[in-house]
Amino acid sequence: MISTGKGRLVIVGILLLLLVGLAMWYGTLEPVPRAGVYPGNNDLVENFDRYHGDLVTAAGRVQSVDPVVIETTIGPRDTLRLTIVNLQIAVQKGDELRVFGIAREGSTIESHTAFTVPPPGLWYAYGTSVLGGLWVLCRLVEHWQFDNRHWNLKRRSARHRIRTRIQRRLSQLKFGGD
Amino acid sequence: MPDLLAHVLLAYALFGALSWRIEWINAQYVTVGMAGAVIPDLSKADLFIDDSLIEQVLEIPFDWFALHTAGGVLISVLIGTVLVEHDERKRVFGLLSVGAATHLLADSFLRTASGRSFSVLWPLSRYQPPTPGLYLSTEPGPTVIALALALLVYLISRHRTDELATQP
Repeated sequence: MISTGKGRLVIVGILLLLLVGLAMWYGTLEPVPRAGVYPGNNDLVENFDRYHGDLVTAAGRVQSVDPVVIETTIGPRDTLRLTIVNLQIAVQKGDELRVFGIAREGSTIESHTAFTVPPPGLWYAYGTSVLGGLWVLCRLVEHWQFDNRHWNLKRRSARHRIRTRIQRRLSQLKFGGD
Repeated sequence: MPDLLAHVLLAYALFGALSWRIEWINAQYVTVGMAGAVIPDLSKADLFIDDSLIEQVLEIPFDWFALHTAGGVLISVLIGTVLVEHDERKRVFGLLSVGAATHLLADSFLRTASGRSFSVLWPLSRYQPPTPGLYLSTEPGPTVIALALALLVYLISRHRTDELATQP
């Protein structure tokens, strides 16, 4: 069954549904502190008061330094401002702060451990990740080809050089499709 | 580990080195291993479509991070395996799995505020093992090390190919 185009599509469809099901299941999971799964941003934005006295983790951009207030945003609308006390490190406005500590009244976290992520670091991570993804994509196109008839991927018999293809296309444009 | 580039460089180095011992691992299969190392980062789809947006619009619980666990990775690997021809499946399954495993392993060393990594084995277990906190995903250090390893493997591989070509 998996060897025909139709059968392959059905199996891929079922696996994709399983993947969505898994993501939905993961979305229902509650924190389990004894397993090291502490309440995080999503849980705190939903209901901070529920976790008073518990160990929590939070991450957000520093809005002010005296007192230290971070703002965490979940999705397009939900934001939460948290006051961080007992912070052992120096922070600046605009820093991305990650903190682990005890949730206290008044949307406050008593910090146990914390560190900051320098702002350019996030852009560095995004940029290099795009580069990594493109590299793999180019290699896949060079080494493997998609068979429309059977809906599968096959190894190419000869390397399909993207650079050569681009050069050929440019030369066609230059010489009027020759 | 860190960023996606570091993951694929590490996979390139690993599968490139394995190709010295395992004859059938050629450049095409190294690419499959590298694709495996990309799989857990499919969870980064949340940068484009936020979990909570899906939850609000479709009114269902949803978390992309499931794709960054053993369960999500296994299903993704199976999708990749189904998409190739029958006689390639064992190899592709193995390469995608090992590639993805290197990603999960390297990410379990990431620094976190709580000192715990993530639920690597979910849905088998929610347990988040302690992390040594070796690096942040935003630091270039690990990428530089992975680049050096990949370059070394590339040079050795090229030297071996040249040697084979000059043999009578």
